[in-house]
Amino acid sequence: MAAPPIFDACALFGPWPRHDDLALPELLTMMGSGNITRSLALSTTGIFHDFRAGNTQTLEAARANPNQLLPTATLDPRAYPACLTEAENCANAGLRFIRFFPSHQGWPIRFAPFRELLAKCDSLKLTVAVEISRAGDITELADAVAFTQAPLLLAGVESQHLGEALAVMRTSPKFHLETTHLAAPGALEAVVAHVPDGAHRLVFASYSPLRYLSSALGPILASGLSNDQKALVLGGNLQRLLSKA
Amino acid sequence: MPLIDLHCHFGVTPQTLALSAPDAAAAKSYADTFGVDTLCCSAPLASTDARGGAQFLSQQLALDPRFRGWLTVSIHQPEVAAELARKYLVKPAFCGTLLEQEGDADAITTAGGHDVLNALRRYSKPVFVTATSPLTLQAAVEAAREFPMVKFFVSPQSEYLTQIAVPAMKDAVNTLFVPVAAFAERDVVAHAVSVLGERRVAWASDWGRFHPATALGMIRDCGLGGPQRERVGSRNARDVLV
Repeated sequence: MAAPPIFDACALFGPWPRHDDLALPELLTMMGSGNITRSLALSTTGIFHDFRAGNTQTLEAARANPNQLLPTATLDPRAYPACLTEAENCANAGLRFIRFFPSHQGWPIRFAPFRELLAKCDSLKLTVAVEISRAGDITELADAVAFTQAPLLLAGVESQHLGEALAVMRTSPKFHLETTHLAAPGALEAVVAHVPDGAHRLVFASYSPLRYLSSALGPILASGLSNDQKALVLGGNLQRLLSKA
Repeated sequence: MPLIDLHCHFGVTPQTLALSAPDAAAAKSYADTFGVDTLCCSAPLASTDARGGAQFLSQQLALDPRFRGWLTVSIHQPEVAAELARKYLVKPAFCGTLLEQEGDADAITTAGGHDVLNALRRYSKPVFVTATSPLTLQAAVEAAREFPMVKFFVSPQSEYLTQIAVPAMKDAVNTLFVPVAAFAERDVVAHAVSVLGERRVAWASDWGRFHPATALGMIRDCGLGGPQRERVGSRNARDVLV
C-alpha cells in the first residue's frame, strides 16, 4: 500500500554527537518528500546539553513552521527541582508532549526525581514518551507510573524486549508502543494479536533525519496489518493521544 | 534489482524469542516477496552447538536453491572448526565461514582465532565477521591485514561501531563493510561508499532478526545512483561469493 499522510511521533533537529548537525531545513525537506504531514519535533540540544535551551529552540522552530511541526519538550530529572518548574513552563507554553531520554542522559528509570516529575506531568495532563534501552526498563517504568492516568509511549523498544512490552501493555490501556526499533519480522502483528486494542496502541516515529525514513516506514507498510490498522499506526493513534492531552 | 542478501538467520534469535522462529518457509516467502536471488544464512544454534548448528543449517540449505550458508565456527574450538570446515566448506551450498565476536574474549586476533583463520585459507571462501566492541572491530581489521588473500565481510553490531567502522576499515583493502540497517544512521551507506569505494560495501538484511523492509529502506534512501546501488545490493557480494 502507498503510505497514507503520516503523523510522525519523533523528528529531531540540532547537533548530534559524532554526526553532522541535523539541520531543520533538512528535516522539513525529508518530511515533504516522505509524505509526512506533521511531526512532533525536538531540539537535540535538550537531550545532550540543556533541556531548557532545547525547549526554547523547539518552540521557536514549531512557531516558525506551524503547519509542519508540533513541539515536543524534554525534561531532565537530574536537574531537580528545576525540572518541575520547566514542566509547568512547558504546559503554560502549550506543549503537550514530553520525551525522556534516560539512556542517552545516563540516569535510571528507578529514580526519585523522575518519579516526582512523572507525577507532575500527569497532573499537568502532559503525554510522556520514555526511552527504553534494557531488559527490565519497561517493568520498572510500569511500577513507576502505576498512579498515572495519562497515555504513556514506550519509545525505542527493541524486538528482544517485545515480550516484556507485551506483558506490560496487557496490564493497562495507557501503555503505547513506538514502532521504530521494533524491527523483527512479525513484531507488529504480535502486538495486534496479543494486546487488547493492539492496533490502536502502536505509534510510528521516524527519528528523521537521523535515520533512514524508509527503514522506519518499510516494516509497517510491508506488515500483515490491514490498511486501516496501518493508517492508525502511521498517524491516527498519535492524533488521538494528543487530542486527549 | 535482484538482491543478494549476505546475512539471514535460520532459527531462534534474541529478537524473535517472543515471535515465531524464522524458518525455511518464511525465508522462501521473503525471497519471493522482495525479489532476493540469494540468501546467505547462518544458524544461531551453531553459536552454542557448532556441530548441531552446522547439521541443521545443511538441512535447511537443501530446501531451496536460493539458500546458501555461513558455517559458524568458534575460535575457542579450533579443532572442531577444522573438522566442520573439512565437512561443509567443500560443499557449494556453503559460501564461507561466520566468526561471531560476541565479546572481547572472542577477538579473532587471539591464538585460537589465528589457528582457525589459518585453517580456513585453503578453502578460498570469504569470512563473515561480526564486531560487538571497538576491540573486536579492530581485531577484524587486523586479521584481514594478516590474511590479505581472504575476503572479510565486517558487520558492526551497534550504532556506535557502525559509525566508526568505515574509517577503521579504510586501509584493509580485503574487507567489505556490511552495515546492519537497524543500527545505521542515515548517510552510512553513502559515507561508506565515499570512503571505501563502491566495491567495498555490501548489503544484508539480517532477516530472522530484523524485518527485511528495514534494510531495503536503507538501500532505497541511500542516495546512490543505480549502478552503485546495484553494486552494493548484489554485485559486490556476487564477486566475492564463489
